[in-house]
Amino acid sequence: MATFGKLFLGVWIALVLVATFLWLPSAVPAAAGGVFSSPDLARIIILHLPNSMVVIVAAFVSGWYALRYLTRGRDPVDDIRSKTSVALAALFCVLATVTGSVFARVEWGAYWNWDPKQICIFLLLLIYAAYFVLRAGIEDAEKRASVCAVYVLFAVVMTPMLGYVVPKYMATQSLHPKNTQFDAAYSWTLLAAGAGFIGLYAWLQNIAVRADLVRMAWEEYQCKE
Amino acid sequence: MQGMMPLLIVALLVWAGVFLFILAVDRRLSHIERIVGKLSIENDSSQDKETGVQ
Amino acid sequence: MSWVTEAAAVFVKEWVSEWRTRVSLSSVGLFAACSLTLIALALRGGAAPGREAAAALLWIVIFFTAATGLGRSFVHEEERGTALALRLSARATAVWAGKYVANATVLTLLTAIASPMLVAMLGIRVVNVPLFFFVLLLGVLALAAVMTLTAALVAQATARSGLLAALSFPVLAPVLLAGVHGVEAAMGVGNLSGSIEPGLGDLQVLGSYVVVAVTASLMLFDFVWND
Repeated sequence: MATFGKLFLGVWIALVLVATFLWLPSAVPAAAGGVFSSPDLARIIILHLPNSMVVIVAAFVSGWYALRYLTRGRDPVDDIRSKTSVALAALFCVLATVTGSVFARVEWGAYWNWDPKQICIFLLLLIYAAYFVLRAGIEDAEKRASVCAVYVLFAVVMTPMLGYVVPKYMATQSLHPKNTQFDAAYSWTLLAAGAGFIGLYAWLQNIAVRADLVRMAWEEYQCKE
Repeated sequence: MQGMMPLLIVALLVWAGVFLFILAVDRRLSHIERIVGKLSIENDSSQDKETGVQ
Repeated sequence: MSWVTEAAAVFVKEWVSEWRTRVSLSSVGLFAACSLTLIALALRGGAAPGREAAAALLWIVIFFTAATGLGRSFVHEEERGTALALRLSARATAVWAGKYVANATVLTLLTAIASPMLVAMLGIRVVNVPLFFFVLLLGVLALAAVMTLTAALVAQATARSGLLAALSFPVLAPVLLAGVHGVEAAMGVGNLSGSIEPGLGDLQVLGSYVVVAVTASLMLFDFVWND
């Protein structure tokens, strides 16, 4: 069953790719009033937007397990789940940034211009980096777990404000098109890609948690020897 | 549509590589899990024997 | 003891122990003095920067001074072993509140001295003094709230220097954005008549940020404190 799920995910994302490149129509060309200078390549959005969806999901998952860690008996497994989710959120932040830069370069000729969404994703990356520095700085495992859980929760509570505050001050220059009208075909493909990417995140999360558990069991075994 | 074919092939190849890599890591991890699981079970049972003797 | 008495006791204790050594006051003061002198030297007395740059410089001085000064507030307890006594004698939320008010007063004092000096040094006219005052006051309250909680986290780590700034900066980004914009408005950027209108949105952002940050800190502090 599990193997079937993994193969299904592989086929699913492959089908999304086929739909992205063969089934989707090109975007409205700039000459006809569109925003893309290279309408054929506007389909990169299918590989760009779902990364940000995964970042949001992973951020809330890490917050959820941090809360569970603090309120439900300080289970070390909850700490591991929270930590791996933060790491995966950072990974998908990087993916969103890279795909977004390529997209922006192809369509508007610039890799980076500090527009609100780029600033938000960059600040999230800074938070995740600070999280791992904090984690590395505490030796006692229980203390590390609770301190890191508190920081994750604090960040989860405070960062949604970014979404409101940053565009308020940086709205003058944005590469991200506003009020994009997606075709039905684009909406469906985006939805399918989002589901696929979240599935991929769940699989990676599962692998990372298991790897940490094995490491813990192995260290415990060595201590007993 | 024709122009998209090479890009699709590249994308599919990249995805296949990533997918197989993750799958291989997953397999390897299951293998290690079995070994470590066996070790710790043996360890636990030997402990039980010790406590039984006591 | 009621919650308010406990918090007030923590606040008084902070100031009494601070007054004996004056470590954090003098380090904060010296740091601010050094950075102001650096700005003066870099400008070599001529070529005054624009008002946008002045607003940015002011917030840079405040943020990094706060990050150096407030990091000590819990390290102190852990090092001298007074944390346990404090844990027994006051509720976690009261400890946080007392520390918060103490940190906020230190920062307010610092800002009250440093910002007029910087403004005078750069030869900039503040067209709306009340707006300038309230933006800085709310900004400092927000800074102190976030840094009081992160200082409690950092106190548990081994490498403390620099960590407070790294942990609190991304969380404080909205405060710095609104603060810079509000100070610019008070200095007359896009606001020739010097009215308070362009800064009202900033005051709203800062005010709601303070409320959210204080509430979140009060709810979360217990988890690091009683561990």
